[in-house]
Amino acid sequence: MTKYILQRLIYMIITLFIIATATFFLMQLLPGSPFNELGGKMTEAQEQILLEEYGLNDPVPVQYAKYMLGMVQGDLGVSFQYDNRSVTDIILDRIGPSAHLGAQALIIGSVLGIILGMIAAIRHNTWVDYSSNVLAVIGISIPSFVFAGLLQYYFAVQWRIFPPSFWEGPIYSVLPTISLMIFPMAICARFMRTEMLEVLGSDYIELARAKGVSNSKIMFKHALRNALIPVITVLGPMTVSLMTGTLVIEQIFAVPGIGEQFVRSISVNDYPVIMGTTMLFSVLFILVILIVDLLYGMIDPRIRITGGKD
Amino acid sequence: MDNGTKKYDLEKFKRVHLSDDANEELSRPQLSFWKDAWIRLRKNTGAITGLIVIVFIILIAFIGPFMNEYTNEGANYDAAYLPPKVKGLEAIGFDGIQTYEVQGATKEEAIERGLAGYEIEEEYVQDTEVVITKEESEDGYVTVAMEVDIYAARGLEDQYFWFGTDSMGRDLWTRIWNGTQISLYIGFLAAMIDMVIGVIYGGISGYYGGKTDNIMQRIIEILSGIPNLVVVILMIILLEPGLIAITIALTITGWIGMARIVRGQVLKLKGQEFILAARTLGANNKRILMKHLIPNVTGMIIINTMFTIPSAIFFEAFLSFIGLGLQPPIASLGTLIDTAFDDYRVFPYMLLYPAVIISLLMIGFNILADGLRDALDPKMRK
Repeated sequence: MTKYILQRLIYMIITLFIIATATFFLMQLLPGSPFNELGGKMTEAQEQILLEEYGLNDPVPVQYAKYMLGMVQGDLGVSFQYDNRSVTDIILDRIGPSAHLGAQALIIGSVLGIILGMIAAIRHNTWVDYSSNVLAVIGISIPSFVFAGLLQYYFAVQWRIFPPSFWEGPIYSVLPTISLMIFPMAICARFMRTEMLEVLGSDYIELARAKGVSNSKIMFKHALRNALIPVITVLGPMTVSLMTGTLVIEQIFAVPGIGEQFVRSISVNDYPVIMGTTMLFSVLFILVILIVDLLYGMIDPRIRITGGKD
Repeated sequence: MDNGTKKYDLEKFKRVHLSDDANEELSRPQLSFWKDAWIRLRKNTGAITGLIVIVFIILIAFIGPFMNEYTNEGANYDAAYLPPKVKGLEAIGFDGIQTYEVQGATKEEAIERGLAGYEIEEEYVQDTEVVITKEESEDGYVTVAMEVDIYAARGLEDQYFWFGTDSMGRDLWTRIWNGTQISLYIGFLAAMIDMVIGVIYGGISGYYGGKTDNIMQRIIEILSGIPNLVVVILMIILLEPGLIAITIALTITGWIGMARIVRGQVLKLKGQEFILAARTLGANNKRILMKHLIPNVTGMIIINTMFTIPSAIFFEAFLSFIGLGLQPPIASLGTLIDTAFDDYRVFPYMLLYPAVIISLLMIGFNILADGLRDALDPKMRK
């Protein structure tokens, strides 16, 4: 197990190293400097001082080493868009609403999904099952920004039930959360249903029934517990959907989070912020995948990793 | 023999001799793998519905732009922001009536300001209705919904824009179906490239095994750790947004899933007897791989490709939406949705049609792919 974790950690570091290197050389290829925005108010000498100050006159390998060292210490460079603000600062400033929204969508979405999938499995081949299937297909298929647009149009503009945009209180998070949670919910429901059906058809459920265990006890004590384990694996795709989701949904609902900042940075070519956010997303994704793999190995003894053949 | 049975003449009963041939005869007609899969797919109502939806959308996507006289890029500023109007369908909403919401201190003032703001003559206003009264509103203004026969107001009574027009007066029917073509093109192209790379990579990795496999798998492991989103965004920034850039960006990590599946299948199949037989008969590696292994993995390849198409269509739309997609005047469903977001509160039809079409396409591909998985891979059936 320790060997496996170590191996995974090494892969993780290699992957992050490749991403960081790629972003660094990409930034070298792109035009523009952090001081362009000051609008030619600087003399040549002043610009030289600033370039020296930020180490932009160093040879590329030195810059690369500094960049990598900085990244390890959490320094992601300086934004082009906001005078002299560090990217780390901007990200920290904006991570709150994104984290709030993401957590809310993830928790509500997966809980609803699990319940939906469970009900569908218990009422297998009835209208409940069919409609939950239809809901899952729709949730997986419809792009979140399309869904968000329709929600905003009907619930905010037409019927005026919820505020259409901004971030000023819990009520403002309702529509963005719904648009963001629809994919996690659908994928959870689908997965839960298949797992539950498989578990319900197994011998130990049959045995429990034979010895007279009550239906609800079978469902919650025997079936649900075992069916829940594999659902952990969908955490990976769910994180990806949350990341892509925040980019568009924060923009649609004007939520001051990382996603909205990211889209804005793309439109004004603020490369350091784009790269910084990219790194953040990569770290997040890689961590989630690692956690999923480790958790899965720990919870389910059938696939416990023994650390190779020996 | 008792009386009961006596009335039946013994002659009537003859022993049927079991013929040896009948034993060997197959009770059912022999079905090839594909025929069998098709029968299973046909029974799946959802998958067939999905197939019909996709075929229908593809057909209109190619025929649609030729169905009226407007062109993709023909701008006409007199016809900007016209709502949908279809001859004969006026009764169900395609009547070319635009509803504007205008504000003012009183109802009359609101209407007056609306007429001036949108440059409309009063005679074309068909109906007005107060939506928010002064008491209900927070800022003390009356909001009035004003229904205007905008086609008449612009002097375009004889024109019919079936899906309306955009901010430059371009016909949305033509643009949406052209955009659907572009979206489909990206989806299919990305899926094909993924398939070719994935099958070759996975096939080689699985078939040769050993050191080759080990190195190739380590590469995959590292690549798959990088989130798709990150790769795509980095590639687009590097390559200048465009059709080719998007396709390259989508395929650069997209083939990994396919490679993994093909490798797994090849690993499973390569130890079986028919491969040994082929080898004994002197077939070389390439022949075994191409003629014996890959055809046996075809089902899995098709299933996976069918799942790639909608995800490529989604990613293209997503990139367009965050400003990294296609650049105007080329339109895809994604760019159309993106532009529609600018003023969909007043002109919701601009968002509605591309949104519905992309949703139908995605649903269609997803349920068809689900159905195919059930039909082609009975073991996976759930």
